[in-house]
Amino acid sequence: MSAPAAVEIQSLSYAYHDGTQALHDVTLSVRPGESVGLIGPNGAGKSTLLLHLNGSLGQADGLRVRIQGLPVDRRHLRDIRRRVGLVFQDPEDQLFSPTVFEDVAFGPLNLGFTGAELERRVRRALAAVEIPRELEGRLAHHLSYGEKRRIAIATVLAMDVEMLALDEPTGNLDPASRRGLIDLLLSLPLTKLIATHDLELALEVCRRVVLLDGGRVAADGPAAEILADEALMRAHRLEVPLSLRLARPHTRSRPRPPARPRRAD
Amino acid sequence: MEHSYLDELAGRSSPVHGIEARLKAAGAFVLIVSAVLLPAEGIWPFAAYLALLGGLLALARLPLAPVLRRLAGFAPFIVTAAVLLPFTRPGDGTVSASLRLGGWELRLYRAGLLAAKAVVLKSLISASSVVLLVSTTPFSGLLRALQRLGFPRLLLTIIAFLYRYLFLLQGEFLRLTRAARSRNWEAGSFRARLAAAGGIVGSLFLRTYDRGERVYTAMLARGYDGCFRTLSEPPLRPGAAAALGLFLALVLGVLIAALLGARGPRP
Repeated sequence: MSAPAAVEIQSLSYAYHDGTQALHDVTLSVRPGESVGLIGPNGAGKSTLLLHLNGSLGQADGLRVRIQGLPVDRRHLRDIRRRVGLVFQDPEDQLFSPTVFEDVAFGPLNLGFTGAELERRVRRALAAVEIPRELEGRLAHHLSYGEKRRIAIATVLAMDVEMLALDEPTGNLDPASRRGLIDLLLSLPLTKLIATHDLELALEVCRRVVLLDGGRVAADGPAAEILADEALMRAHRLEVPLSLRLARPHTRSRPRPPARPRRAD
Repeated sequence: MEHSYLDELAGRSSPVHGIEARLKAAGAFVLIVSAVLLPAEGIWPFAAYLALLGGLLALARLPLAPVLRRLAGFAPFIVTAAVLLPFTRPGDGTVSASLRLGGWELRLYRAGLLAAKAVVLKSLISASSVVLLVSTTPFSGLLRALQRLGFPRLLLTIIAFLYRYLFLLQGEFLRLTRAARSRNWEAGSFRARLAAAGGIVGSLFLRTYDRGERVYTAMLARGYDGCFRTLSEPPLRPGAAAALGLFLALVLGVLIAALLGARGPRP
């Protein structure tokens, strides 16, 4: 028998308390080791979908979402959360402890690790995201945004997760921090689901993208094909990444910019 | 963003900064309780405690200005007590001095003066102990120390969250008011300004509420189950325990001598 899918979602629907239908009949399967970009306009349901992966939402309906074959329901919650590392959009939400070390230790502590093993996990996770040891005792408030993002990822790496679910990982980062984060994501040999508006990131890190709009899957396929489909992208308030447009000058969609008016002699 | 933070002096290095947080917290606690228990009469026990604190302060090599500024934070309470007590506590009724103001007579009672002296000195010792503790101990270490000393876990958790998110909240408030000012908030009528202030406070409340939800979700996502687990602490070094023992012997020795009414020279 082949290994179970990393993520298996069967016609999942979800409405918030106020009646907003955030997800509508979503079916999706992710193979182990795959990197999948979740793209779509604002309010498409990307974050809502990510919150379902570790049972933050929709535990009652757990049978519709399976992680490595395990249904995401109350009974398996602890196990699921060890497997799925959810990295939130705002690192300020994820880093709530007085020091960086305590924040990274929070997950492993809850899994029952203590002493030397706990310390080993924290150090390894911080090393993986290239955070120097001097920062361990700092309050998250005094770190740069890029450092906060990396530490937010370390907080789940320390739990030895098998899958990363990242919400807008490159938002608010300066170009150098963004580059560092993309390189970090490329270096982590985990299954990844990345919800993002950064389509260049999706193109670079993900072989496959899933386009969500209005809570439905509008497209699912190879990143290079979907992101290059100008009609599809435009129909869902997205655009073809500039890198793809420049790579194919003969299909340039925009007219050349008009020549500059000549200076009068 | 502009804000001073509580433990900005705690990152320095000195013999006092190097002492373990648990010992400092325990020491400060004992010193404060002993100071409160000192009899109001007599001056040398107070002087002994202040000398002890002065010595530690010198050993901690803290810059004087921020330390005095922090002490000044306690001043309103101390000054209020010091000014009111001599007039309001008659004790046995002995009047030390009286002041005639028109038809009024202000009486300065002896017992009140004594109480005022004791309150000022006890507050000064307590405030200095706290300032010294906070200025030489990182906040996270202090929280862990208090937990080890048996403070209620829930209370400490709340303080930890407050410490973590207070600055963020302050920043959010700053941005909201800045956005309001950028649209000429001050130029509006009083009513309009008040309405805008209401909006700012309201949205700050909503944002904080939302943030609380998100933080809680993030905690659950990492396996939080309602029980706060904390890092274990290494056992105390024998040298450190001996230092605490010496400190406690000094503090309690002074207290016992003072309570026994000894008026001899300092031990």
